[in-house]
Amino acid sequence: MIYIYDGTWDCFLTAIHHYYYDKQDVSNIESSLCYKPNLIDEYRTITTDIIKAKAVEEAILHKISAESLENIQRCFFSEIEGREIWILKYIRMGFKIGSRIDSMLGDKTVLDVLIPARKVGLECHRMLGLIRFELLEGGIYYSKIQPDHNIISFISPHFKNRFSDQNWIIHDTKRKIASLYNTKKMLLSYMDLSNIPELHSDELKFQALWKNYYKHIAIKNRINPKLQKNFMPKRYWKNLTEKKPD
Amino acid sequence: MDLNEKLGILADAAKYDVSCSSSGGTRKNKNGVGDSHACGICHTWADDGRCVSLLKILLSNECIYDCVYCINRSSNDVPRASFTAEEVIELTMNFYRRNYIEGLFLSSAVLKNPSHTMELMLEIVKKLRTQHKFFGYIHIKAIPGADERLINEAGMYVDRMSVNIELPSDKGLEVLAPQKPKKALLKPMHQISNKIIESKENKRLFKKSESFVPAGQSTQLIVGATPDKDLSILKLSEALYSNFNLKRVYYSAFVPTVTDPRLPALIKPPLLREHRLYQADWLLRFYGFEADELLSKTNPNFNPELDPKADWALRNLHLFPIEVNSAEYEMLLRVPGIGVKSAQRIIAARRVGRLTFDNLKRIGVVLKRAGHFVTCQGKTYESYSSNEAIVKDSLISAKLQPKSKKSVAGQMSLFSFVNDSEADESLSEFLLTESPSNSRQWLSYFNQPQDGRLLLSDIHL
Ligand code: SF4
Repeated sequence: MIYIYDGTWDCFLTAIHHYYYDKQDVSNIESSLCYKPNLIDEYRTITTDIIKAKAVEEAILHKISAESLENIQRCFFSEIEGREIWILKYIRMGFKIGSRIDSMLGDKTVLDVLIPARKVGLECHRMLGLIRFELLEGGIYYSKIQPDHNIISFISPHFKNRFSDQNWIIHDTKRKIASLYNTKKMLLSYMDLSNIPELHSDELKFQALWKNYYKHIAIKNRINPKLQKNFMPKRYWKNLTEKKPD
Repeated sequence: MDLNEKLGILADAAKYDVSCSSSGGTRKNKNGVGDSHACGICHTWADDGRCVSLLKILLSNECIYDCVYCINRSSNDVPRASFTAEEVIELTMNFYRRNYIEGLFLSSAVLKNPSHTMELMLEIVKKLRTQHKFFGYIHIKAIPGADERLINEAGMYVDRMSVNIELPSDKGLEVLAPQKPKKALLKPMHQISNKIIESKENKRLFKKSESFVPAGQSTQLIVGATPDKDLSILKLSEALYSNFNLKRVYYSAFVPTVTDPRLPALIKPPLLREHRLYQADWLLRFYGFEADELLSKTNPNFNPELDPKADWALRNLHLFPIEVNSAEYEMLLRVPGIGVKSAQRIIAARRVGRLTFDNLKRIGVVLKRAGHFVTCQGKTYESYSSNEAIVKDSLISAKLQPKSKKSVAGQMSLFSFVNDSEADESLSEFLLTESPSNSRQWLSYFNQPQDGRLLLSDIHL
C-alpha cells in the first residue's frame, strides 16, 4: 500500500496518523506532486485532517523530543526525494526508544533524517545573510529568492524581528510562496505575486553605493575566487545586488 | 566630492582591518529596526573570500600621524576624504534595511586630534541608537589618546570597541609607529576592560543599567611587518586574553601597501602564517591548549606543512592512542581529525552505546587523521601506525584530499560555522493551512488600517 498525500506538512502528518491507526502495510508515502499511479501499486489518497496532524506533532514532541520534531520538520522541508519514508522509519524508531534517538548520531536511520535537516539548517543560516531587499514604490521592501530547500517558513521570523518597523515581502519564486509583513502581522502562504510595484526612486542609488563598496572592500593581493564560492555558491548569485551586472 | 567616491576611498582605507565579526551581541529590537545575534551572520563574501558582515569604513583617512606600515600615513600620497555624521548614518540605515549588512564597523584615522575624532564617532553612534532607533551591531575603534570620558560614553552605545595594537612588540612599535608608544595603546584597552567589568557588576546589582560594550573588546596584530616570531605573537595573544579579557585577537598578514626601507620587502602577504596563527588562537580559546605547548624557544615558528594541532600530536605520540569509548573530552579534543563538534557528538553518542570506527565516520571524524591516535573498543584503525614518519606523511596527505573544504587557506575557513538553532520560532504560529487561489489583491495587505487588528480574512487573497 502506498499513501499519497498532497505535499504539505499537515497532510504528511495525517498520513503518519493513518499509518498507525489503519494498521495497513504501508511501503511508501509519496507526494501527489511526484507520484505517477500505475497498475501494480495499491494506493490510497490521504486528505488533510488538522486534528490528526496536530496529534502526531504532539506525540513526537512528548514521546520523542522537541529537537526531534525540529529535525523532522527540517528534513521534510528539505524536499529531498525519499524523505517521507526516512521520516516514517525515524518516527517508528523514536516512538520505541524515545529521546535517546537524539544521541544516536552514528545510526543510519537517524542520519537519513539528520543529514537533510542539517542541509536545511545550513541553507537557512546562509539565506539570513544573502537575502537582499529592494525598496519599491509605496514603501515595501521586496526580496526574491530561489532556495534549494523550502526554507521560507524557517527564515521569515528572523526578518519579522529584525525589520519590525518596515513593510517587507520575501517571495520564493521557485515554489510560488511568499511571506508578507506589514509592521503588525506576518502572513505566509502559497501565492504567485503579480503586479509588483516599480522600484522606489532612491533604490538604484543605494544599490550603486553597495556595489561600489563591495568592489572596494576586496584586497587585490588576496583574490581567492575558490574560497569565495565555497562560502557563497554561485547558484545564489543571481539575486545578489552586488553580483548583478551594472 | 560625491558620496560614491568618498565611500570608495574610505572603504579602501578600512579594508586592511580584518575583524569583521558581528558575533557576541544579543541586542533586541525595541520598537525600531535591527537586532544582533550571538552567532553573527555573514552577508556576502568579497572577491578575496573574506566574509562581509559589517559596513566597514573609516570616518576619515586624513591622518596627522605617520605610522610607517599604514596606507593612510600623513606622508603617503593617497586621495583623502572624510564623511559627515549624516552620511555615515544614511549609508548604515539604508544598507541595513536592505539586509546588506549586520551593522557598522567604524574606525578612523586621527583627524585634527584624537579627541576631536572620538567626538565625531560618538555623535554618530549616539544618533544611530537614539534618533534612528537602530539596534543592529556597532563596532567602533577607540582612538588612543582621546579623552577618557568620550571613550566611556561611546561604549554605552556600541556592541564592541577595539584598539589595534598592530605591532606585536615594543621594538616594532618604536620603529614603525613612533607616535604610538605601546603604553598609549594599552591605556584605553585597560580602561575599556575595567569599564566592562564595572558595568557587569552594575548589571548584577541594578538589572536596568545599560551595558558597556556588551560584545567585548578585540584587537588586531599585523603579522610579518616586524621580525617577531610566531611564539611571541601567540604569547602576546594569550596574555591579552587573560589580562584584558579580550574577546578576539585578529591577525592580519602584512600587505605591503607602501614601500619604506624600514619595512620588510615582502613579495606576497604571509597568508599561511596568518592561517596558522588563527588555528593556534582557536586552539587556545576552545581546545584548552597553551602557547608553550604549541611552540617553544627552540621551535618558535609554526610548521608550514602541518597545522598546529597535528604538529603537537606528532611531537607527543607517546600519549596516544587513546580509547574513544572512555577518553576524557579534553583529550578527545586533542586528537587530530576530531573537532569540537565531533568531540561533543562522541560524548553524546557514548551515553547510548559503544562506538565503532563506522560510527565515528558517520559522526564526522576524519579517520585518515584520527586513525593514528585512537582505538575503538581496543581495536586500532586499518591504517594505524605508530611510526612517526608514516603518521606524518599520512597527516600531510590526508589534508590534501580535494574533498576537504577546510584545506583552503584563509582565515574565514576557521570561523565558518552553522548555528543549528537559528529560526526557532514555531512554524504553526503563522503557517497558513489553506492555499489562497487568488493573489490579485495581495498588495492591499500593506494598505490596511494599521491598528494591529488585521485579520487574515481581511486580506482577500
Ligand atoms: S594613526 Fe592609524 S590611520 Fe594614522 S597613520 Fe597611524 S595607523 Fe594609520
